[in-house]
Amino acid sequence: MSFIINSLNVTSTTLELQGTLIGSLVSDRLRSYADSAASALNGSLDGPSVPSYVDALLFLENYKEWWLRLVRDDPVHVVVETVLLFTILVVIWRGNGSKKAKNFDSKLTSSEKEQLIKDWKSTSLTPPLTDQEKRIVLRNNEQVTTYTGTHIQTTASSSLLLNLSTFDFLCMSVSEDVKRASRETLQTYGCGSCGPRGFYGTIKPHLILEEEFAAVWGVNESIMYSDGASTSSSTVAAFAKRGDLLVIDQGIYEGLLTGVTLSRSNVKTFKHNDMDDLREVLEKIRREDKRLSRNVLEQRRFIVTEAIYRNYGSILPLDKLVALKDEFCFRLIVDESLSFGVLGPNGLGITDLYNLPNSIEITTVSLENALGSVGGMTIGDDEVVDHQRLSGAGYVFSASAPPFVSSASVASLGVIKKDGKEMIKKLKKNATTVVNIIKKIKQLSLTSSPDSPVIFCCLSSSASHESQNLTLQSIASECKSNGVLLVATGDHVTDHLLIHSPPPMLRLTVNVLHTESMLKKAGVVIQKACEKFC
Amino acid sequence: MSIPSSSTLRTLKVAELRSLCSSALNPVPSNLNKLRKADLIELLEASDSTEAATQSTYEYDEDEVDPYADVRERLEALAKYSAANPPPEHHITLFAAFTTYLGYAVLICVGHLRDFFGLTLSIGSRYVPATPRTGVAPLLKSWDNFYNRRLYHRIQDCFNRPVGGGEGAKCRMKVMERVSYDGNKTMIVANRAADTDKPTKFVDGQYNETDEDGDVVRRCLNLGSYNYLGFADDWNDTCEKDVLSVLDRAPVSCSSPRVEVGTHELHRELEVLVARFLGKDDALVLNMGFNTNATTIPALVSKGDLIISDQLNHTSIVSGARASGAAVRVFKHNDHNDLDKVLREAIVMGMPRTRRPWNKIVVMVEGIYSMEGEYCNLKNIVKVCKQYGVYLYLDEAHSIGAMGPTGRGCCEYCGVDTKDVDVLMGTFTKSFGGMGGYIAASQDVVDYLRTKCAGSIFHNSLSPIVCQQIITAFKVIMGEDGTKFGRNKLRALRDNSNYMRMRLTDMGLHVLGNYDSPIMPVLLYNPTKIAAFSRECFKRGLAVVVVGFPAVPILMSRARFCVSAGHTREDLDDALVKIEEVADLCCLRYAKSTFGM
Repeated sequence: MSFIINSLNVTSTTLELQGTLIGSLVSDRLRSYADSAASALNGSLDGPSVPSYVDALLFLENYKEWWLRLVRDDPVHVVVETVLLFTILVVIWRGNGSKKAKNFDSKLTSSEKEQLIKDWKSTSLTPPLTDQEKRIVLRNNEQVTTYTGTHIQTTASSSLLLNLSTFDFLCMSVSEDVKRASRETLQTYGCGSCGPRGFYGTIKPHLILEEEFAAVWGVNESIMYSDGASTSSSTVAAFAKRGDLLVIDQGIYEGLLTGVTLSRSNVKTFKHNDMDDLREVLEKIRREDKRLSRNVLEQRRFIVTEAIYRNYGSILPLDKLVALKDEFCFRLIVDESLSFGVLGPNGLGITDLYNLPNSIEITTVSLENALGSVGGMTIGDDEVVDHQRLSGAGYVFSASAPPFVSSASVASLGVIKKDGKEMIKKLKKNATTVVNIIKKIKQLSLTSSPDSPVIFCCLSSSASHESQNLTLQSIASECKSNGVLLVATGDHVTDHLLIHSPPPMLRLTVNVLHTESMLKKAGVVIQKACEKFC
Repeated sequence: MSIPSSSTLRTLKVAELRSLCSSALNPVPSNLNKLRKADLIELLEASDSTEAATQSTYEYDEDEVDPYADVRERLEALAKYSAANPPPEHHITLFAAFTTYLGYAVLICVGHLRDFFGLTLSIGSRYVPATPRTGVAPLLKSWDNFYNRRLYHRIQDCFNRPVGGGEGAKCRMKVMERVSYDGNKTMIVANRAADTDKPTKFVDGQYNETDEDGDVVRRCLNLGSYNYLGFADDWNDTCEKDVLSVLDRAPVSCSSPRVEVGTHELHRELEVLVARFLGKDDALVLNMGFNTNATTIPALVSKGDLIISDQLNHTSIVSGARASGAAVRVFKHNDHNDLDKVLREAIVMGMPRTRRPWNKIVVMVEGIYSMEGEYCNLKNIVKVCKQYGVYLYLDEAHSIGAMGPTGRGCCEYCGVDTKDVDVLMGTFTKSFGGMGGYIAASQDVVDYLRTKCAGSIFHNSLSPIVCQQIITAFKVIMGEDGTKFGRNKLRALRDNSNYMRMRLTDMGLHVLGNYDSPIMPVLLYNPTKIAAFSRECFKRGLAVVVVGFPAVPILMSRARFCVSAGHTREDLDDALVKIEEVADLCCLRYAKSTFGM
């Protein structure tokens, strides 16, 4: 009997229910069967000794009587039971049958298998490169030989080019303070840390950096990762898990998006930087909650955005976003990789700009841009930081960053604290200068936020994606041959690893060391290049 | 015993080859009489090539002193035996299994009890999670959080120990003492100046010192860092000059991805060097070892492809595989027969449901498995991959620079041509004392990855200063600096590792892994022994790594020793005496008795 029930358990849940029902019915019948047999036996004991075949006959007689009584008293019972019994047999029989069908393999003879294995041909490991990809390889092979912050010399250029392409907004990577700090730490601690943070890879400079960052944010703790991009992906994946809900901007960059993919959470997207669309999405979620009477306290919910979008240059309207997340009970994960050291009167990022301190639950910052170092930080309350020390994949399973980069970041932070206000003013002024230049060029139209030092512009014409890309590539290389280095994003920023492909654009980044005359000269070069190709 | 050249071998008869095999090979293959001529020749050639290379590097010159002269013969015999046989398998003793489960049961019950009382009576349990905003789900829930609060926090002083005292992760390092005033929930660095009125909980003793900031440090022998070739120890002699000169002329960070303007000339120099070192067309160098796997795998494989991964592969590979969208199958750790079975079934059955054939299949293995101390059974795995025409991806994170007579990793050690491995991946954090990772492969593959791998198109590139560190380390290993430093380092690493492993095994500990591998995990089993072993070693001036669930299976908690070329025999002898004391204290001699006593 238990075998039957077991086999039913395996087949499906609906049948499982039936099986238990049948089980109890059948066992009832067995019990009455046993009872009748016992009474027959008792009867035989009462009388004088009788031959054993009489027992058997008596038993049959009793059984027949019991059966007839059963049919007479409760015919429905008998019919139902018989049908169920029949079903069990069918299920068992069919179950075996379907197993056979599933096990397709067993029908193949070994020679057929050999043939299949022999016939299988792997495709090549990588497909041949397209023209677009060949251009990327070429650009990748062009090497930087000299870097001064404002200027870059590459192996393909004979003279210094004006640098409008790195994210080194404050020119910290060549600052004397940063280099001095790096040198001192290198001399005492050597280069590599030779281990993950958990296993003697935590060196004193790491602790100092974490303390400094926490102090800047006014929290107790912060956590350092050894790579900027893995900071955001590890952080998102450490908190959001299967079953949680992430509402993400369609324009987020690859690092955050990888974290979203790895988390395997439910994902809803809203239009890039569009708070009205976000409200609609959130309202829809709320309606769904009501309809399905979901318990919102069971599901962790996050809105994932960037402060300055790496692929668009737009600035997040944090005030509206904070109002929305409070209204709809969400948490915020904001990547401040391009905004820390850049936005706000003190250069402390988007919360400084909107004067909304501690309004973001989880902030990730790359140390590789404005701070001119290597690595990344996540800042949040104790719970947020502590959890990552065991669950942040990039923290736990990767070697820690060389100690000298921590000291370099601490030195950069020191500079920002000291001269931050002036630097930010200068950076903003430079950004405005370039924005005004771009606005004057009629072939280009500005797509980034006017306050962002990462300036994006696309062609004003409405040509096809591909031809716009080619034009912009030509403009970029024309600018390069005239001494201005800027980035055309159309080749490598595609829909590969992103939700949507942004339109082909030119990207210009300004830094604090640029002077107005440098930028004006660059403006003339860009204007000429645009006139040549449009 | 010398083996004739391959041209002579081909002229010999099968019977002669067999007799040659039986005399030259140790151990003699059990199926010797069934092997065909080609197989026999291959066997002999392989044994010849590894032996010749081994001898030239590992022998001591006449003017050098072999610190292990007294045990040399036994060491070589053990190494040879280990290379030809599978690593020892340790079975957990019944007593250990019972007490381990009991230990976890008690920990979990007590944890739940404390949670219960903490929440219902709200008597201010330190571990009760923070209350979130109204209407928002708690940030942390479930088993993970419970595990952290109730199991991990109790012993968190054994992990994340910071290193200070003005020295890095050298072989003789200074570990910062920490104290906790809230029952181990948070650890604070012990400072003599700040903590005068508070009770200090660290064991002050002969190993303690105070550094210039007043922080208390403990002088320890480092048996935990991946500083295999000891570049952290002699950094000021070997690397300082080159690295600091680059700091003068290059930026600290490129602040740009490789494909924009983040390719410094040092990146290319390093890539060319890596490719030359490994005998591949080209290489791609990225900023972080973890990300090298996590971003390359999604670029190489996608939906419609199949990844066949070793059971014990590192999280970075798992992470990359998960992000790629390809199907993943797992084969038994290091078992080429199981790989064969999995491959056969995958090819015959095709994709699930649609039954279309797989576009491509990539087998992923590691050179040395960092938690097992075992190296990859590469020769057989390559054979299986070739037989089915599938690609092989080898992660040499721990083995590059640490294995093989010239440090060229698992391929060299196992006698496999790097041409037979399609994608070679490795990191610079370990043997090279830098950071970042590389992919070395054919020109097509590397070029394709430059255009598709997120590490190349979106992530900022490796710091030029770190590039120079790695280049210098490579030059030393390859002997291109004109010294014998590199050769001596490789020799010292091998000797130290084998000596340490031999002595640990002699002690009767359950030691995992192969000879010639610098990683030796020792099984502790009981959760309570994780902290006991670590703290007792620390008390005696040994910094060791202990690993528990979830990084390893629940029954298999272990301590892990990583040996370096920077250790001397005296260091190791001293450490072994202390380890023996601790092993007695913790009852770890499971190879001697069921109770470990």
